[in-house]
Amino acid sequence: MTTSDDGVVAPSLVEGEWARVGWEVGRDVAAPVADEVDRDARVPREAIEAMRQRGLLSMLLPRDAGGGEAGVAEAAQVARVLAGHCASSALVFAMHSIEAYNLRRHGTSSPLRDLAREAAADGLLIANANSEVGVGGDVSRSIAAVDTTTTSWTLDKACLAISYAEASDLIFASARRDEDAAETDQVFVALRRGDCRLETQSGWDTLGLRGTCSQGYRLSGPVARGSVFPVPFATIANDGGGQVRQLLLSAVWVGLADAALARAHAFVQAAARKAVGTVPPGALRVAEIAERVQGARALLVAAAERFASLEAAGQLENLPFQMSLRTLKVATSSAAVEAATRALEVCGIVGFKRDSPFSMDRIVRDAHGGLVMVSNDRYLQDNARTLLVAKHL
Amino acid sequence: MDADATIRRVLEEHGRLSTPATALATDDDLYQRGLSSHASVNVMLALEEAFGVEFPDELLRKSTFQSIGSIRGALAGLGNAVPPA
Repeated sequence: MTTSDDGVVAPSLVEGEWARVGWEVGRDVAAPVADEVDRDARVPREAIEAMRQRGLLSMLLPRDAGGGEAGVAEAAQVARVLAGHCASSALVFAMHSIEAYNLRRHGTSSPLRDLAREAAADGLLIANANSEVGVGGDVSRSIAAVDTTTTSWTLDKACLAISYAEASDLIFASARRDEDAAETDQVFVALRRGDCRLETQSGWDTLGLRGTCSQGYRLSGPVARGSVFPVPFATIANDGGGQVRQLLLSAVWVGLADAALARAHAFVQAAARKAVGTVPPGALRVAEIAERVQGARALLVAAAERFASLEAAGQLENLPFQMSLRTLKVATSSAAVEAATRALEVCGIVGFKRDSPFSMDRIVRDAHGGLVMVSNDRYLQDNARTLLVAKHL
Repeated sequence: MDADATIRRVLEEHGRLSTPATALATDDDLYQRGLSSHASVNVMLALEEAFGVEFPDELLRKSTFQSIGSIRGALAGLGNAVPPA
């Protein structure tokens, strides 16, 4: 258990060695430059380097490749404790970890096992290029295809966004299997960023989550034959990748809710110490925020436990569970926004100021990113469609 | 109408495939023929209606709807009149 000494995260919730490491990286490295990362909309390179040094980038990689082979629940804890310090750092960790998990679970070919060993040894940072201009955010379809018509295979893809692309070492991308393949006949390929051309197509001057640098790019580069995952992209998305994505990103939203609650809590405690014998008016609000945040925490923990049991049973592809994970994302991102807004009201003008220890500035702005990355409406629409055939909700 | 013909009709009406459903081989991969996750929900619903069955949650996975043959196998397992492949 880690003791909270910066008033950001409730200490009783940080348990386990990986979470302690995440906490230290957050407090010692990410937090001191978080405002600068936010102001300049630059990648949190200090935190990335610390995550590399402390083994967080390889914690999900297989042990026989030199990784930590940690559970997804532990990675969720890391994402959560990082988020309270710097949401952009937490998201970089989460998005990288989704790909590390994909490499561990589905990168079973010899060349991809070699890549996992290299990733673990060198602490390679993996970015993702699944999104594409023209498919409206539906990653189960691709327009770009692996060009297999020449001896050296290549990919040329117009990506809606590749987060932290220019800081990454590897970029994993979905694409049609070849020029003749249907939009849904997709493969997943691992590209080396250094071999690729990244042409910026759109910027990333956003309200929040500014350090993820999720710019639009035209990505082009060589595709080594051994870098094509041995299963279709649909298997990667349905059997692990999609589930881990929801869990780890939801952990970031819970971490922001934690941080909002902790700040409001610290504020009313300070007020109480100045007027012993009275309950500060904001304390009732904090009790209400805690009710909402506690619900979000419990949903995350329950989903992580369910994930672990389904993973062990080889039953990750499970429609009701996939629906519940979309619900988890909607619930946690909404909780983060609500907690942040109400904590701002509790802290009042010192919460509104950007230079006070109770500033809610980044938390309020970052939390709103959770509502739209991916949009809650899209997930609710997906669930509305899926519940027509699911037998249990 | 036999089971295969009904499955093909449902795929033709709801699968949004790149190939006419009548021209598909029994083991052709439907996802490689353009069956999207959105369209697959409509295919499931139409199959439930056409065969008077309900797919239990454990059958609602991509592999169940991989091919005409796998759909026929799933329907046969549900105990209706579909002969196994």
